[in-house]
Amino acid sequence: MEVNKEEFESTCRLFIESVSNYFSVMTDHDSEINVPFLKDITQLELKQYTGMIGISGNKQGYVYFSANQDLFEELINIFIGIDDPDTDDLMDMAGEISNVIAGNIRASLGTNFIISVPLVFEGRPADLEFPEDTFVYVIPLTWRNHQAYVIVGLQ
Amino acid sequence: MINQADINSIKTYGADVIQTKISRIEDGTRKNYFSLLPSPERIRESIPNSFVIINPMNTVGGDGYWFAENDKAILIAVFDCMGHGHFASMMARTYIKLLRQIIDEQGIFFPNQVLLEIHTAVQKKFSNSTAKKSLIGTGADFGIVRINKAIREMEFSGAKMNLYQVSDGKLNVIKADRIQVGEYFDHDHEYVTHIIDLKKQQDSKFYLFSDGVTDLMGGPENKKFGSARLKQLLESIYPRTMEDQKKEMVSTLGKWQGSNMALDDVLLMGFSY
Repeated sequence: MEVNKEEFESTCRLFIESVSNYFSVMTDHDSEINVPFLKDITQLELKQYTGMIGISGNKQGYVYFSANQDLFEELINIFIGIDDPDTDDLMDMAGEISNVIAGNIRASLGTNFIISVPLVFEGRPADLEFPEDTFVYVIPLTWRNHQAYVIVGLQ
Repeated sequence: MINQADINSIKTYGADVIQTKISRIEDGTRKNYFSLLPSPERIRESIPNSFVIINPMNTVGGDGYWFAENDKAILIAVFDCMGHGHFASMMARTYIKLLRQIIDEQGIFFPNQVLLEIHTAVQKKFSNSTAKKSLIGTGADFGIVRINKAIREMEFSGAKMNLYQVSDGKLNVIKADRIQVGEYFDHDHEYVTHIIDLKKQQDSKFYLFSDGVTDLMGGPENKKFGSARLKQLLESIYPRTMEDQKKEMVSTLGKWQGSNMALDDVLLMGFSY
């Protein structure tokens, strides 16, 4: 696998900044970004709800934002004021946050960084396939005691 | 559940190799969104000459519709929530749940009354919202028609969504009231009921649509599709069957948009009774 590690890490830094900005600006509560680590795709853990954005153009890959119900519930309460969101609401929230994070990255990287619309799923679907030759970076974060992962995979 | 064949393909804006490798997984939000909407097949069982074109800007959107029927009447509601994307989809879901409650469970079939009930319910739900940083608009444009089957009379009430009627190849716009439902809680909301005698206008064709149709950007000078062009199109396809009209509209709007990214959701419902 030929990977320009320096370039990969700089791209990951952009994702970390995008996620940090999202929480600090949108919710007024900072997130704590924990130490990112490289992960074997086959052992990748996903939380309850995951939003996935495909990346194409100059860079090929994907980014996942994965978190449990409690994080999405609190975001919905802050943004919409609904106390009792249902599963559909939680999934829409996962799609929304994935879209904003990836959109911010596109604003930084320009028009050759093309992102897909979010694809949201619950759990880990049996037919979830990861492309081969992908360098996977997991960025754990904590926001108001809720844990989440941003997973960046770039070829 | 809405039939996949009735959904225009979504734009993925160029995501290629990676996307195709995982595209066997269905997007859960898209599935949820479309599963709430009545199927066009069900609508055609009661109104054979009808069609629905729905194309959310992203995978999901804030446009939606509802259909109900009882012994006496058929009711069609089309709405367009503020914004687009996932937050608008949450609002669309709220509106569909309210429509189901008000029409299907409470049995309210009068368009102006449905609008008021929806407005009151949204006000109750959101006017004292605890949202600290509200990112969602709660208002929606609405057009509702009720067809009295026995006497072949139609009632229409609208909240910022006009009803277009084409008779003998000429378009007549039946104006909606200019205040949305679900917004401006300090203002009085009243919606006029317009009566249309279908017996005297048997060949009329009717259309309700979100503003994403007229706001669709494209064409040679990258302009909005606009009301004038829509009028011209509807008048020109008037003699054709509703099935043909749908094909022509999808084709015309698709050509107009070309490779431009959509800026809003698109929903158009056409019917003749």
